[in-house]
Amino acid sequence: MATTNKELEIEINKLKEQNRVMAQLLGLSSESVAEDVTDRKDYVGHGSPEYALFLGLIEVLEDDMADAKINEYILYESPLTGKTWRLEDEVSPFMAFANPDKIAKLYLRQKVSSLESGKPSVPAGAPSLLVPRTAF
Amino acid sequence: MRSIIRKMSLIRQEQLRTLAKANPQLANGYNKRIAEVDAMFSEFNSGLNGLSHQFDPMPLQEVMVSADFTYAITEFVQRLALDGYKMMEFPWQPLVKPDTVPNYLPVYRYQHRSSLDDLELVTEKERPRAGSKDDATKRTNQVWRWDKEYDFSHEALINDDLGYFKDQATLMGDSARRTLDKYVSRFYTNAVTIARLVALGAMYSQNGRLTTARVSEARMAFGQRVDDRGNPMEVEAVYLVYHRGLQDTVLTILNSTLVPELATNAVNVVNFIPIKDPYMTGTAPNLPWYMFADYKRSNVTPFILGRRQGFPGPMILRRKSDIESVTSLLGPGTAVNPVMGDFETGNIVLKVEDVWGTYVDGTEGNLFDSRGAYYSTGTAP
Repeated sequence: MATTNKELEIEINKLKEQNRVMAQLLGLSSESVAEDVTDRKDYVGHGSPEYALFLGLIEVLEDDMADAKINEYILYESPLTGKTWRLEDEVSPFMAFANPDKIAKLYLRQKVSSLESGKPSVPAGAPSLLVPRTAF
Repeated sequence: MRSIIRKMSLIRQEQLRTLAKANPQLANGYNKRIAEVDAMFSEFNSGLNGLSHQFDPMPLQEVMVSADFTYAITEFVQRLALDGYKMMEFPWQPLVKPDTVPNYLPVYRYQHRSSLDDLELVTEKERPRAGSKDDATKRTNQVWRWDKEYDFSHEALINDDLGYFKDQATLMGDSARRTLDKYVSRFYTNAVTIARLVALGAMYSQNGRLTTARVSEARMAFGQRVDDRGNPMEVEAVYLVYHRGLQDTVLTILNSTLVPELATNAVNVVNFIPIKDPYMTGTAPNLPWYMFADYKRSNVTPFILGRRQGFPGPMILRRKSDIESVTSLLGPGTAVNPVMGDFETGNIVLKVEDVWGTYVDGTEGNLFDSRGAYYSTGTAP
């Protein structure tokens, strides 16, 4: 039974270490299963509608397709999800281009790729957090 | 060789016997010659066996002419120690706020990370509601010793006619610097820090490969930063830290006045200060990159590096020699040259030592303030 704060800290860190070892034994990375910090006021989920808005992307639904074609929006159908996307602003980023359509298509494709690639994963080769032996 | 000489000796002896038979009046002279020839071979044979002290192998002698001098000079062996490799540098200093701590115990730092309440409309005779203040954000910092010991033999140092060991002190200093470089690189490449940035959402991490559009996304994400009360902060993505495989991409983006990957005329408004991290790992084309704030401009400190007071950089230390020179058993002694080493073995022992540390947390990794960081795996095309 821990009687001092120091001993309590040591106990907590032992438990943390056991948790980390157990996660490794199960083939999980304790870091990669970190839960999203959704209570932060600037939190935007990967692949979320809010992130699409942030990137300036609008999903073109079936019902809007005819309208999109009439308006001649530049469209990109994602090979990953089958969703069709257009840029919210097709003008200002490309005003200086000689061939804005072509450039806007490339730009749109990159944005959709950023959106749909989902939550990044922790690289398998990432080094562990360096915790000196006397750190706690 | 021995057999050939033996045969030649026997042939000569046989020739001399034939001559002796043909000229009996000169037989004594021929017999003497036969004995000499036999003795010469015996001496040669003993010499080959290494038995005769009198054996002289008759070194090859030639007449030296002026043309031979060129040949003679090329026979000199020159030994020269060449300069070592130039190593890649990692200028991480702008990313990390320096901190000085008094000793090896944890120290605590507190920062206001929220603003006060907004005012509220009050009507006639109404009392305003009480405001509130968030707790300061508490962070710890602690330093540890980092050492490496080197052991040189007295003989190695004395025999070093090339000066190979002369720059060892410089190399030791380099080693300390390199270790610190790797330590700082690990602040953001470690799994916990990355996991934290990922968990904070799309304003802190993404998967896109490095392009102008993605740098722009990162800069826009910094523009969305708010404090703990949700009020907009003044913080910019100033530094782009990248895998060395992205060198050309970074230079192209930075040096072009246009949008490089779009290859036409749009003006490139993306601006940043590039920092190449030679220790970041990744496999092309999936190379990671990060963006960080400048703590001097915004007070948003992504990382902190603590150093102990009075120990601002690495020190090279030598164990003092425990021997002295004397002229009599009981007389006074005088100090000797340190290259004599220690009494027991003649070893000269040095170590390089430095003291540093940082914020370490099981959840946040080394992120002193995550609002100053952005990460991309660099995997999405």
